[in-house]
Amino acid sequence: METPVNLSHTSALILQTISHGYRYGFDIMDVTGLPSGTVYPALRRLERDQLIQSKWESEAVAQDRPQRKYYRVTRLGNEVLQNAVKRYPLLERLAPEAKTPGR
Amino acid sequence: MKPRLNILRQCRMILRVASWIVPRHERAEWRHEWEAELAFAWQRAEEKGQPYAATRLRCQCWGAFLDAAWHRCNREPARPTGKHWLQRPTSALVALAGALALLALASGNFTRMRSILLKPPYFDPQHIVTISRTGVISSAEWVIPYSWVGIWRKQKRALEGVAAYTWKPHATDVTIGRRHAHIASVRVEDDLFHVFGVRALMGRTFRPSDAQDSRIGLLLSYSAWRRYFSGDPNILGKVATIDSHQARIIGILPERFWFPSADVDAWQLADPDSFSSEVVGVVARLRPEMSEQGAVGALERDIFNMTGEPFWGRALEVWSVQERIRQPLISYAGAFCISLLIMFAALWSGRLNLYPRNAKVMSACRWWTFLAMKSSLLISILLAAVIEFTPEPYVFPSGSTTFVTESLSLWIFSVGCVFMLWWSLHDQQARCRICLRRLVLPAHIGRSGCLLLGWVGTELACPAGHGLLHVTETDVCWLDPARWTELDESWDSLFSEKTSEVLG
Repeated sequence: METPVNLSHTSALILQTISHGYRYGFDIMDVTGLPSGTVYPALRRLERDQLIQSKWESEAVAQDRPQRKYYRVTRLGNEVLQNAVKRYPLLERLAPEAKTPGR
Repeated sequence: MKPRLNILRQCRMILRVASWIVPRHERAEWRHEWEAELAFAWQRAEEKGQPYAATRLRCQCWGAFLDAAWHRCNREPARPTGKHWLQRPTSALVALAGALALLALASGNFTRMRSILLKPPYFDPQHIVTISRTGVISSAEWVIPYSWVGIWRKQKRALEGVAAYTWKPHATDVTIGRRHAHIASVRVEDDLFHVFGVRALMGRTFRPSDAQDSRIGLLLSYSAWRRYFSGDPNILGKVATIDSHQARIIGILPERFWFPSADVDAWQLADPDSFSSEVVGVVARLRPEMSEQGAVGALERDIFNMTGEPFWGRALEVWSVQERIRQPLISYAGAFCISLLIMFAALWSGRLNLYPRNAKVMSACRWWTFLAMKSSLLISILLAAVIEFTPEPYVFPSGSTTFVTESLSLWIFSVGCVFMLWWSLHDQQARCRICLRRLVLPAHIGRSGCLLLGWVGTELACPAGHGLLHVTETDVCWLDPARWTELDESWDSLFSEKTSEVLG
């Protein structure tokens, strides 16, 4: 049986934000209001714990600007997030749904 | 528009500087991610015409340092990081510097070393000499009958002042009130501090009238006063018991003063009558116009005129205190030079094959700098250990044989020097020629019975994949004893971090 992952409030908020469709680092910063020095290390930790997965966007999406790296929640990440939402009930209100998921 | 463009440039500069913290193999990807985000955010701010967005972007870029630090500290598991650090050249230098610092701590900040290396703490030291007699017994060249000191003091042709002393190199018990100290002491004549031109830091030095006192006078060193008597300001005039005799503390000498050794902490005034039957050490101050050679002739004539005792050959020796103090260093320097010659011979012979001949200038500089720094630290540690912790070679005549102890220190230093330099070269050979890390993964290759076409030996690899070292087991004329093979970038994947972890 795997050890359950206990997320901090900030990590849970970032995970919730990604699951709501804000997939890029700077977008997460805009939505949550957290500084880059908090968001990026949290993203690295979440990726290390296999709760999120990163990928480079395709050239077609990027067009004439540099390709960005986006993050998406893994299956394990979704399970952990559900537990986190039970622990932090206000999480749902703090992270709004993206109008266009994956923008 | 121009100031905003400048902000973009500043943001890129911040990211570039932060990227230096990120481990090299992750740096390009890390920087690409941040710059892509920056470019996107900048483009969006331009489109929306938000004047404050650019400044906010710059603030967000400062956070890249925390992200970079995370990559540096948390990404690599702790165990391999520590292990990798031990392989690095800096770890060797830090360990040696640490050992030197420990020696400094254990020896009270290199007390003896400082007494040899720094200028002697005497007034006008170039005119202070020791007078000894050569050719009596080879190992006890300093013995001077005390009666001769009286003759020279009366004549005063060559000397401004002269003083005798006796010194037994073992510690005595000094008790003042409830405080006890186990310190080395020396018995001196009252003229000694006049010869050295030294005044007391507290109280006074000896006077001729002190000899009439029922209690002998006693001077303490600054370090003994601080260490054993807690710097008691009321110590002057107190009665001390020294080896069951009563003595009165009359002064504390300056902090840097030492005589005849840095280990001596107390000076007792000697009764001239007790000296009369002894052989003594003699220090004197030459007259300004008198040379050492001239002084020898004048002093010998004084003795011959008064006693009729002839000197066969050069029986008296007048030797500058400054030169005498530096004499052990000259011996050590000689031993070091011999060891260095042995090292150069080993390097020149090509048996070690330490460094590839076609290497880049920067690599060569790093290589030789590291070898020089490591060897210097090793020799410094050895020199400090020998001077501070072996029986002290007597700088001043002590009245007892010094031949054995001087030789012992010198022998330890000479043998240690060869061993240290050999270890330094051996360690250098076992390092990568490019990054100077310790080579790992020793693999035995070949069979001893098949030397005709192949070779037998050990192969070592650089942990960063810069090259391989082949060390032959048996010397063969057509093989280098230690051959370095540089690897190109195509080998990088084999030496990636994950591979290293698997290989341990």
